[in-house]
Amino acid sequence: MLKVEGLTKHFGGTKALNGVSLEVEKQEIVGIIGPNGSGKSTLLHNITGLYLPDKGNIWFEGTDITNLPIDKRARLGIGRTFQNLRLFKLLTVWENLLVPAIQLKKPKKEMEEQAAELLELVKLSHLKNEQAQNLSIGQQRLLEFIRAMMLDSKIVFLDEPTAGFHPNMIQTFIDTLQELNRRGKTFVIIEHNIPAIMEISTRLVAIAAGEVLMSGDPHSVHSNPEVVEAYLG
Amino acid sequence: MEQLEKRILLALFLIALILPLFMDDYVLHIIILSCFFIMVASSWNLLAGYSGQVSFAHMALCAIGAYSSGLISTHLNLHPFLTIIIGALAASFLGLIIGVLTLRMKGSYLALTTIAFSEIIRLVLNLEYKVTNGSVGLSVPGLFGDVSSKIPYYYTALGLVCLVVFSIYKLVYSNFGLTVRSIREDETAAAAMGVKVVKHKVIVFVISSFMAGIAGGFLAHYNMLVSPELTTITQMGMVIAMAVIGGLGTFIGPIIGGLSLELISEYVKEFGNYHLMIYGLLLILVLRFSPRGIAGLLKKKSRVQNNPIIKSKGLENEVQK
Ligand SMILES: Nc1ncnc2c1ncn2[C@@H]1O[C@H](COP(=O)(O)OP(=O)(O)OP(=O)(O)O)[C@@H](O)[C@H]1O
Ligand SMILES: [Mg+2]
Repeated sequence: MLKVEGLTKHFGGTKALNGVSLEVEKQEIVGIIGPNGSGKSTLLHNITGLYLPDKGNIWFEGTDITNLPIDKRARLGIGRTFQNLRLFKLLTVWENLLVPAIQLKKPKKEMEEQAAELLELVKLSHLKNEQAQNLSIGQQRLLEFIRAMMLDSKIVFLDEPTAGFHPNMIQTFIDTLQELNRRGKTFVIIEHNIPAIMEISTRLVAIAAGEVLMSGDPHSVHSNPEVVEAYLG
Repeated sequence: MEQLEKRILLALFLIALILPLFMDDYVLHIIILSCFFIMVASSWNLLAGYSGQVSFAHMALCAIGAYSSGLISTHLNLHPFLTIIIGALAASFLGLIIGVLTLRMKGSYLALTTIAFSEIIRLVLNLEYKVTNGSVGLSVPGLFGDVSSKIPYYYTALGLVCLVVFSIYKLVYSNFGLTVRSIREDETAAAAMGVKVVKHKVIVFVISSFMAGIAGGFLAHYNMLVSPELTTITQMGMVIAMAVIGGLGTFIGPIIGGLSLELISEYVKEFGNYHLMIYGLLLILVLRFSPRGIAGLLKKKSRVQNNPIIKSKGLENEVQK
């Protein structure tokens, strides 16, 4: 459903992405791992439209979206979260969830049911009327995750979704993710938490220095000497 | 909006309705001016407080409304009720242009650009004698012809302020308003959530300019005079102070701020030009102790009471401070 070809992005002298190609099929959960500064977030920014690539193309469900503005990609069904958390801080949890649904012009009842159900899934219903900034980091990450789901996203990109989690929240996150995946959603997850990503991903992609090192079954990628070397070196 | 705020507004409205029964012209005059300031402060708050576009061109746009209406009613002999609307359309058209030009600007860049625009308008109005009569100002027909009673003006001002404030209420508490607030919080995140950022920002600029234009037009035909005084940075500062002291990004804030600061400044003016000093002092106090202004004080208590996190951490006292 998503196809990326030869994506290249330079920042001055830094080659953040150097010809990255990647395909994601429907209902996959693709984990992306790689050392700090290897270009994971930059890849995500290019796919979701925050940055425009210097070279390369991106197709989503058959259409070339390489140069589409970010909001248009969102309305097509490409959702995302941010590594550094970008909630609407002074808005309530509930309002945060309604914003994307409003842009899709959904009926009021439908969006409210959807928001209530997602809150239930991540166990945040009791914080519905709280300002987003009052939530703990972990709760904020969960909220940002379900906010992206309110776009009816077909594919969702999560940038380090469990960073700053209280350990017992990780299970809530995994359960929610797998439930949504069963309903047909596709996920691409950047994660430094190796045990967690090994558990949830159906495929693992290792990135180093702006290039795809390897892609495949999580265990074989994880134990590959080259990948281990990149992580340690 | 909270219950307490609704009650305050209702009480204010009821008092305002019967005020002419027992108040003299001087008081009515001050309330009429307050209505003008509530309209500009509320519409500026819509732009700055809700959409996050802190513009300093609001009073210049207000003046555009005033001058356009004044000139058209004088030269084309149209009724001021009609020309006020035309003037407001002129203001919103200019607002559209500024809105588009400043789209990508944030913070101090937006501030400086809009100050520059405002200064250009001020200089032109001051120096131009043939059409707008320069710094002396332009005489324009009264809204009610030669009627000297304040009462028709008073009720018109009250009607207009209710109309403007009610429209803002409807906007702010709609899906559109929520979308606009999300842009204020984080433009990039809003875009990533499918928000058409540019469209919404520009629409808010146009609407708030229209409202400023209405206020300006009304003031012109009430005073029967328009002068470049309206466009000074001092006037803009007063409007900002009203919105901020009342509570930026709150619905009731600019209403309370506009009313109370206008009352204070009228009272203090007897002793000289001290009102600006008082505004400044109030501004500092508010920003230090209640960033959401007077409206924030009304809310603070209930927010803390209903806040499970603050409660569970035993932080009530911290927040109260
Ligand atoms: N906006 C930018 N301007 C300049 N350089 C950038 C920018 N964004 C990223 N970079 C650089 O591009 C490289 C890749 O950064 P990126 O954030 O994509 O890494 P990452 O894999 O997400 O790392 P981390 O695991 O730390 O999040 C880094 O060298 C970074 O310094
Ligand atoms: Mg990153």
